[in-house]
Amino acid sequence: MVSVGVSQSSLESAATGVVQAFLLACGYLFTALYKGLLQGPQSLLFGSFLGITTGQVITLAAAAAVTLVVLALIGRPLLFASVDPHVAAARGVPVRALSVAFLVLLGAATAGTAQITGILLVFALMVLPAATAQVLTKRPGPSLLLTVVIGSAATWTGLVAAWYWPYPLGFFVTTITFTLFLVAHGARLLDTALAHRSAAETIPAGAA
Amino acid sequence: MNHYIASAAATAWSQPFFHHAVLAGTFIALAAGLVGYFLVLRAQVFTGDALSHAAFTGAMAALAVGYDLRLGLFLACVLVGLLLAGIAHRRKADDVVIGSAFAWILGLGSFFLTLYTTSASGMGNGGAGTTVLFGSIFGLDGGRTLVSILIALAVSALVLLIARPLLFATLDEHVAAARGVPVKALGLTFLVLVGVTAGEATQAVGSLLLLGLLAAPAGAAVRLTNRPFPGLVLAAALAVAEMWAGLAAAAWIPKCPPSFAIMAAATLVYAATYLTHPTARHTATLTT
Repeated sequence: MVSVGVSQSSLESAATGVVQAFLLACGYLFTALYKGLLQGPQSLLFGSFLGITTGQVITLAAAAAVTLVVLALIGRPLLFASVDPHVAAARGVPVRALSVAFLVLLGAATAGTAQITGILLVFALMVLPAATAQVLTKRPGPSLLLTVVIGSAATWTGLVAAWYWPYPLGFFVTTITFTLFLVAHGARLLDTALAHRSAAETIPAGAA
Repeated sequence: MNHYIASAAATAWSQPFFHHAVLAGTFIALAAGLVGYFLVLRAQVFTGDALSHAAFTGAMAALAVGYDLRLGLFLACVLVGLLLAGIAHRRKADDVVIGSAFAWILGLGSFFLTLYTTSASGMGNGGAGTTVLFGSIFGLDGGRTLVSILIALAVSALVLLIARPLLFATLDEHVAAARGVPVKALGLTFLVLVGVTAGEATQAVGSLLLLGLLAAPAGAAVRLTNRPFPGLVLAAALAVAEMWAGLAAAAWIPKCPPSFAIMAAATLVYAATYLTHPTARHTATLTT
């Protein structure tokens, strides 16, 4: 009798898929049970900037400030643990505790981001600016700074665009960040192509 | 049989919309269980996630330009399935690039949704987005039910037809290729079937939850048995049973959306496999 071996990662992704779908289904149940005024779950899912109260802004700002302070405190060891976990652990860096702390920070940042881009589009504001920055520079400091600049610029541009056009904020933010990501990739490809050509031109000259 | 349950549910159970939902749901679940089992075996669960983004955007784009929602749904799912097959055949594509592209596709979907709801034809139809995202199995009419049953039957038949060579190609790609099994063609066909199934599942539980319908019964079946054909049958049976349980619960409990009830049943069964088979994880690692 044949028996099948399924890789652990495939089982894990199946579990992730089940949990994700179930939690979204719970969200749907709660919006169905909610008795208040809710024009469908779309503004939650795709982002809206209308009707944000001062109280919400203060809460968001406080949460963001706490997240940033904690990140600044653990930033250096976290970078070490991310780049080389084994060496970091050998040097006495608490790798486990750092990764738990990071996941808590990730949760707080996701909750904040979701209010701008909508729940479904958090990825765009969370990952794309960082990926774009890492395409442009490999050095951690400048790339961190670049990430913040790209993220803020995309959000502000998105807000301005959403003010003038009726489309959801999440659409503008994803489009801007994805375009920047593609442009960065294109620029790097062009750069390596040019470097190749100039190298190809200089080597025969040097050899001659 | 419990008399009270029968009388409470009788109101919904005698309605035609419920009959349509049970008929369509049964066959959609059958197709999803069969396809999902191979999806888990082939470690392509991520494909289901990508397709859920494409399904929403395709349906919304079709509505925005004035076509039937299902046209865009199936077209987008099959095209993206083929695209993913193309990416997989070339060198291993960057996770970040794929993830970003699908985040943007979803953003595009929200654009089409707004375009549709603010255009003249879709005025006041703000529920269209919710319908696609979370499904509306109780909203199927006779014609739609028939079409979705036929498509689901065709998918199930095709999966069973290619099950044996596909299993071979999944378990040992190189040996299968050496033995003359058309591994590439099978992979491509399978992803097209996944695309069509995603389109079907979107009509039942919605694009956001189709991943659960594909992954939960299959994941449970893989944890319960490591023999392939009993696993395939088990995945399909679990999917159909969960669909029935969910529909019955939705008919019985007031204000309970059917999509939630189906997902809850699927998740319960999946979670139960962790309780009854704590060794499943162990054997899965051993046979890798």
